[in-house]
Order: sequence, then C-alpha cells, then structure tokens
Amino acid sequence: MMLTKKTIVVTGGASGIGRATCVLAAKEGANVAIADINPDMAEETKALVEVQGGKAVVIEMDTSKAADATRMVQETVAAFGTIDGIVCSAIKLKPAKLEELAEEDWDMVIDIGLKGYFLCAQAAGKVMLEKGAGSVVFISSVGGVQAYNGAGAYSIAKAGAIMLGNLVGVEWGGRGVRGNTVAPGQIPTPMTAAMFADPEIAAGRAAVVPMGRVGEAEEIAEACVWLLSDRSSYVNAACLQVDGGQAESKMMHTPGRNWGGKKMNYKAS
Amino acid sequence: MARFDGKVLVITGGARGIGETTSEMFANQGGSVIICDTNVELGQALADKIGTQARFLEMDTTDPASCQEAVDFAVAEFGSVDCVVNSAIRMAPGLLKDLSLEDWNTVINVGLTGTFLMCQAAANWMIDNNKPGAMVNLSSIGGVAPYGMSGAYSTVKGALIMLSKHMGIEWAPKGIRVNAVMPGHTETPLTSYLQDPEIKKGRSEVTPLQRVGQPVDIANGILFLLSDEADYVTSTGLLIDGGLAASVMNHLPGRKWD
Repeated sequence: MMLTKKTIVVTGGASGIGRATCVLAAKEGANVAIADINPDMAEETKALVEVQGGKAVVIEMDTSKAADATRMVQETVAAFGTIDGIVCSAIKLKPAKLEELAEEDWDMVIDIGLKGYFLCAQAAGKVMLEKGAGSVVFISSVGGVQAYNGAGAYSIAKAGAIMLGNLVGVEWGGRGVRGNTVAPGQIPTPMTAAMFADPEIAAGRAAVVPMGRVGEAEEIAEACVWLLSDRSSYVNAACLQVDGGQAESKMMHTPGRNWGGKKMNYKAS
Repeated sequence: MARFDGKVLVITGGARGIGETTSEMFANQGGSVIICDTNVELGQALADKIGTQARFLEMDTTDPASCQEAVDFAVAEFGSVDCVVNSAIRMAPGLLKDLSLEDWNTVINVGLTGTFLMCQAAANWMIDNNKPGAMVNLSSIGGVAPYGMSGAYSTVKGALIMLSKHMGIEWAPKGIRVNAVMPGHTETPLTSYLQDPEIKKGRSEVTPLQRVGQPVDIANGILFLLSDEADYVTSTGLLIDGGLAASVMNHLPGRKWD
C-alpha cells in the first residue's frame, strides 16, 4: 500500500474528486480527515472510507476562513497525531460573463478556490515543516491552463492554484514538503451533474477530448494518491494534467484542414 | 495481481541509467521487457540478471527496420507490445556557434527521429491488433528550459514533449496514451560529471528539494504513466525534477524583503 499509516487531509472531501481521493487514500492505508462545508455528505464519505477499513474524521469547515483552517489542523492532529499530506479540492463554481460577473461572486470563488488553498496548505504545512516531511496537492483544472470562458473567476483561481503549488514546492521543498498540482479535465461530479445530465452536452464534452470520453473522479484520485506517496518523492513544483489530452487539443478544432487535398481521418481506422 | 502482469515493454536505451532501472522495476512488477540498446555487453548482462522476463536486442533507434525488429521480437518472445519507453539519447555538447552538422544530426537522429520511429512501429502493431497501449518518452528539464552549451540536446528534448503530445492526440482514439517525462539533474552514466562532489553539491543546492535525482525517481514516474493508474493521462509532460524548472527566481540576488 502506498500510504500506510499516513494521515491525509482532504478539503472538499465530501463529494466528487475529494471524496474519491479520501476513499482511495484509505484503500492505500491512510487515515483521512474529511474537511468540508457539507457535514452530511462528508459523513457519507466517512462511511465509504470505513468500508475500505480506514479511519476518518469529519471536520465541518469553511476553507476560506483562517480560523477554520487552524481548527482543521488541530482536529486532525487530535484524531491521528500528525499530518503527512493535504489535498485541497474545495471549490465553488459561479459561472458568469466577465462583463456581468459580480464582485461578490468573484470574491467567493477566489476566497474558496485560491485563498482557501493557501490557508489550508499553510496551516497543514506548519505541521509538516516541523517534522520535515509532507506532500501538498492542489486540484487545479484544464481551466487553469486554458481560459475557461463563461466560468467567472474559476479559471483565475485554478491558474493561481498551479502557481501556488509551484511556490509551495520551491519554498518548502528544501525542508521536505513537496508541492504539486493536478489539472483534471472534465470530470462528472455533483458540481457538474446538472450539466452532464443533458445527453447532448455529455456527448459533446466527450467528443472534444482526444480520448473520446470524460474522466472519472477515481482517475484524478489515482494521481493525487501517487503525488501524496513516496513514489513521487522527486516530483516537486509540477503540474500533472489528467485530462485525456484535452489541454493539448486546441488544433483539433481547427476547421478546414485540407492538407493539400490529402484526405486523413485519424479517428477512423 | 502485480501492476504489469501480462504486459510487455519495449524500451530503448534500456541497458543503462534510467532505462536500466525502469527495465528492472517493470519486470519486478510483473511485466516482460525487451531491452533495446547499442551496448551489447551491458544490455545482455541486464537481461541475464532480470531472467526469464527479459530479452536483450541490439538495436539502432535511427533505423526504421531496427525499430520494426524490436516490435517483431517482442511479439515473438512475449506475444505483445503494450508499453514503449524511449530513453535512448546521445550527448554532443557544444556552443551553437561552433556545433558541427554531424553532432547536430547525431543527437537529432538518436533522440528525436529514433523516438518517432520506435513509437510509430509500435503504434502500428497496436492499431493493427486492436490493442491499447502506453508510451513514455524521456524529455528533460532541458526540454522546458534551454540548456546552454548542450548542442542539440535541448532542442531534441523540447521537441520530444511536442512529439509526445502530438502522438497522444492522434492515437488517443486508438486507445494509445503517449506522455513525456522531464527529469531534472539525475545521476546516471550519461551524467558522470555528477561524480564530481563539487558539481553534485552545486546541482543539489540549486534544486528546491536539495538533492539530485536518482534513476528510481524517474522510473517511478515512468511506471505510473505506463500503468492503468494513469489511464486518463495522455498528451502531457510530467516534470520529475525536484522543483528545478520552477525555481528560476531562487537565483535572484539581493532580495531584502525585510
């Protein structure tokens, strides 16, 4: 097992990628602190962790509040004695056109998705720096490397998360605490369930991915667990794209590629 | 069940350094490996050491017939080609001003053209046989930051990232994933200068993690990308450099923030 006896904190652990990460981390031997604003769903994650034979605590919190981040660390340490890694995945999505984006919506997404990453990483980082070992993983997005039009402040928060991950790696790497980012592509989760419920959207979103499908939360969890584990002990200040090739697919959408009349279709056999 | 049970890896530059460690770990985790290298002595010794799950093939990545032979040999010996790793490279350092065409061509041919030919031969077998696959190509920190005085090395390593992405995009509909890894300073026979304690110390200190990498660090990343754990990862590059690529601003002097 990759995370035997390690204690991992997952913000946004109540659902989606966060939940999948909690479950896989437990399967790999970790104790898990499930930090989320939604305690009921966090309790469901806890039950799923316990099915794996793992131990979990639920910490009801708002990641954008420094006092909550401090309490998150205190409660984790009280339950399990230490912290070996943190995955920050808590986010809220507030779509809007830029010209109409309200200040409060900008603030909310940045507060949770960027400031919240900082506060939680900082609080957990202090524990890990003291013992000279640990791993910080931020969930970014394909929207952090490609501008996600109509998504309000989401792309900005996600791009910021990549740089924050690099900064953690550069500042703390020499003291044993690695910092990295995972940039998922389109992953159906409770946050995006309403959108993917439309079969036309689901089919269209699968079609624009080079691999021809959207991803699963468990596939992102695999990357998170790997980055938490010692198998990635020289991976630091890096961003791992887990997106089926989507971030690199820009030129697939160039129409009229005639190539001088040479007919080609790489999707056909 | 082991991670690579029933899987067959063809690896170029498999006899030494990162390739050697990757070959051994792939076999240790249940797979079979065709060790391709120009160095017969080391390649055969490694295959003997690994045992029944390994074969050595003397090959030249720059020759399409040799790449095809590697595929045919893997199929004949182990029945399949599921994974490909390209780590073969030559170094021919020099100032661009003085770099000979011969040195330029050597590095481009082995590192870039060789990777294209090997991947193309394997992909054709996978597509013809309706088999999914995973490929990993060895780029470098020198592929994301120009490595002065390395001759054509940085250009090849940069191009390998794009080639990996390009193959990933074109072969994704066939179920073939292609990615690159970008190691930082790594202690291998190719980087024998790291045996100089002063160089090793200096290179460790410029790396945020405060150490140079070992082949196992890089092999761990390669194996992750080859495994089913990474089955939604394609057309990307994974830095395994201890934070080196992100650390340019560490070198700014005179930062009196307080």
